[in-house]
Amino acid sequence: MALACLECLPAVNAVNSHPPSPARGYLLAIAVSALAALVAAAAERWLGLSDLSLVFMLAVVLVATRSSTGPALVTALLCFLAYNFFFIEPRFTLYIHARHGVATVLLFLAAALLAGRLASKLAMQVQALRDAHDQVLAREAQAQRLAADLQAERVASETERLRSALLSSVSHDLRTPLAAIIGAAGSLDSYGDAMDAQDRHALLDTVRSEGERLDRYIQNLLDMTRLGHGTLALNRDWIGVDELIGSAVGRLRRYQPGTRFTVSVDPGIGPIWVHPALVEQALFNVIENAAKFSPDDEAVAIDARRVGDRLRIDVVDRGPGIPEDERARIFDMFYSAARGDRNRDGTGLGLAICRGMVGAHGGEVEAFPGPEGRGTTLRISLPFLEPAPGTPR
Amino acid sequence: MNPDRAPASPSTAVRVLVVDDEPQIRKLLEISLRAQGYGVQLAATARDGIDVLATRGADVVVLDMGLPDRDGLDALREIRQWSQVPVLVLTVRSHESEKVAALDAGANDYVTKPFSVPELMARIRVLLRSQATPAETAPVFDDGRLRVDLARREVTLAGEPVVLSRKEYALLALLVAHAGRVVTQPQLLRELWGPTHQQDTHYLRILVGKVRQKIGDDAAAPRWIATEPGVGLRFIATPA
Repeated sequence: MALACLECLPAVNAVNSHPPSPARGYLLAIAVSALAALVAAAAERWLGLSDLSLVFMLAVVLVATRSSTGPALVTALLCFLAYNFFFIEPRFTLYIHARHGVATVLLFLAAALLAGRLASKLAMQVQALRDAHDQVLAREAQAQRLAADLQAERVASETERLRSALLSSVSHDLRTPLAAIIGAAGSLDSYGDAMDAQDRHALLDTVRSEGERLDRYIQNLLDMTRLGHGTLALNRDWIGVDELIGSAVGRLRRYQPGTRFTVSVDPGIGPIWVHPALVEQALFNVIENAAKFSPDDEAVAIDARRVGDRLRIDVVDRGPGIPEDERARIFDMFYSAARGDRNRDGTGLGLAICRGMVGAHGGEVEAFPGPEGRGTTLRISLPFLEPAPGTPR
Repeated sequence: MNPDRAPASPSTAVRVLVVDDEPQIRKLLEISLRAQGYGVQLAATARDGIDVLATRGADVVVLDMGLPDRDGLDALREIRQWSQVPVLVLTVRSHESEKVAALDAGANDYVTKPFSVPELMARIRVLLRSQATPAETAPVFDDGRLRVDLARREVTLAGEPVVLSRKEYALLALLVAHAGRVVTQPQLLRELWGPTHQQDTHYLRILVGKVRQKIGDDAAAPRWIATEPGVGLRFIATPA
């Protein structure tokens, strides 16, 4: 019974501790033998002589299982000597009846060998298990490291892509209007006197419209920075959907007086609880994009209605449309499809900003093919929210 | 008579004080304003601007909000302590709360940078006109279609009387009295419902909607009442 229990004891321990070194094994042998002698001396009052030998047997098995065969044999000898010297009559001598003594020694030695073998086999198995376990852990760690490397590489290449897109956008979208402005101004300065009024006006118009384009681009960069830094504080207020549309359309008309619009707003739509200037800007960007791709003789259609508990504003242009596989990407920063290159004002930021601003309100922007498959429908949808009671504006 | 309000007689040019730290903007405004027959005074800092206004006076002040020595809003408040001269502030587009703050601190109107010179000139003319109209004679707005008689409290559309509730009329009258200029949302709420109703912007939207409907205006393509989101309402005196 005791042996059975002791067999499992080292197994549990072995998992947590490495097998003791030989020197420690022999020290353990001496210590355990001494301890066994003390315990046997204390227990002598209640136990018979043959029972006392079991205490020493216990010690032998204990050492055998905790270390290796060598220390176990030493323990067996020490225990035999202690048993003989302290407990077998005549006490304090090593004299014994040969038969009795030899049997005890042999029993102790046999137990030591058997338990030692068992223990070292167990220890080996535990070690093998532990090695396998470590290997699995190492493999897992390596896999994680590889995944992390891969992720870092992907982020790095994404950042790199964005950076080069930003650089090329800045150099193109800042330089093109500047080149036109500098050129027109220089031309007017040098040859203005020789030009007729119409040519002078055309050059001056270039200066103004390119300057305005530059201003819109810089506004876009600033908006993008505000969105990117997460410093965009929503200052919600009630505003009419028709008022937002009226403001955005009016602003675009000032830049591009030629653009035509058809606007339909469901008269049942009440005011909406949003940050007015941000949603107006988002709407402006979508309308500007539609105006850019709309043919001259076709109007940009704006339709606003309530669908369930959401506001839906569709902005439809009759331009060349967007291939299906590119539709989701038009909201990416600096993405501008090489579609119908007419009037390209490609900042590639307007729709990304729109998505950011609408997203901040819990809404979405999506692109669909236009009605009858012609052109593009850009759809802004925003939840109708109520201000929390008692919220200060 | 207020010392900085010179009579706008043909012999004396109307004087415009421009306070802006950008030399290019000062040059642009100086040339443009002179071309329109205005007398121009220039200042590069808030301190200089206030000094010029105090010592020499001006009929209109064009004040940049981003001055190097002092917050434009702060300078505006100081001017308003002793002068009622019309002030047009120059501000940046994305700062709609700054516009409201400037208007509530006593600015008469704002123009967003970068501005178009014709737009700026139109705003200055509106300010000079409202300044020249004595407050006692209530004006009549009439563009041939919509007629708002502030003395008789009558509104007609194409000759037909328009029936407005008290609040609806109060809103329209307030906008017409400030025709061409923006009236901020806090100001509208204060004047229509009193100072304790600054949160009731939902009522305001409903009320504006009703007035528009009764005078046949469309917020999505405004002819008379335009919304400047986040700032306020502007009555368009001369539809484009």
